[in-house]
Amino acid sequence: MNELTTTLQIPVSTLVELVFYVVVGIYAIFSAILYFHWQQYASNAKVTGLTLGIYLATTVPLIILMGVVVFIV
Amino acid sequence: MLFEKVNLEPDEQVLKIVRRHWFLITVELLVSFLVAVVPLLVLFLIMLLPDSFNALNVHLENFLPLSTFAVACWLLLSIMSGFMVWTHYYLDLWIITDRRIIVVDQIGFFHRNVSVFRLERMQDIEVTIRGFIPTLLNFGSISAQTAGHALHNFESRGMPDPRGLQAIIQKAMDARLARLHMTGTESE
Repeated sequence: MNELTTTLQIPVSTLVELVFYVVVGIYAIFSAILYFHWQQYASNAKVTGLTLGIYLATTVPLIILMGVVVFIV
Repeated sequence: MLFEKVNLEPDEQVLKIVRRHWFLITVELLVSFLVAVVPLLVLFLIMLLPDSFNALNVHLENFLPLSTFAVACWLLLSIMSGFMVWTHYYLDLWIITDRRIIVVDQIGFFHRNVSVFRLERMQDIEVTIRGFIPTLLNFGSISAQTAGHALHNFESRGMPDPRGLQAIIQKAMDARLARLHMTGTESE
């Protein structure tokens, strides 16, 4: 009995790049939702500013690091 | 901002804004932190293992860019989940005014309940503190019934100082009823 098998070969670099785009997409959507909720429903502008500031300060460097790994290294 | 959405009545005064007890958010954030850190610690321990214990003979040093990418990705997703927990905690609140209680229940990003209970309709405020940690840190659930609307009973769990909250609501209810009674007498 002949078995038909297909092997899909994707280079690791392409796979990592694809994962990067997916993660950046999720991050962008999540950030927009987070921003909307804090702008619309929070009761204190100071806490809103602090939360969004910490969020950006902790996540943007990680996105940059991932981008550096994908496109430069 | 929230108060523009809630539309407070003219001369309505906010007596207290209450969120769930800090212990609950601390536990939830701690879980998010552990979820973020534990896999990294495992990776670090694998790197420290001598070759004789490394059955797969995998050396992470040889995959530094890939492991950096994976670690950054994992941390990013963990931080996002931590912020989601914080957002649900902060946007989930009770606003007690001198006329009503506004209960904002942020269940998920796309599931939000806002219930309004007028003080003059409220009855039977019940407080429950159950368990060792809630007793120690003074938090518990508070529930109340509204007259004539059995379906509009409400309960919130993990409220800080529930007895103090009960006292505030009771005092506000009495003041509200007295004010309404006075207005009714004056109009007669």
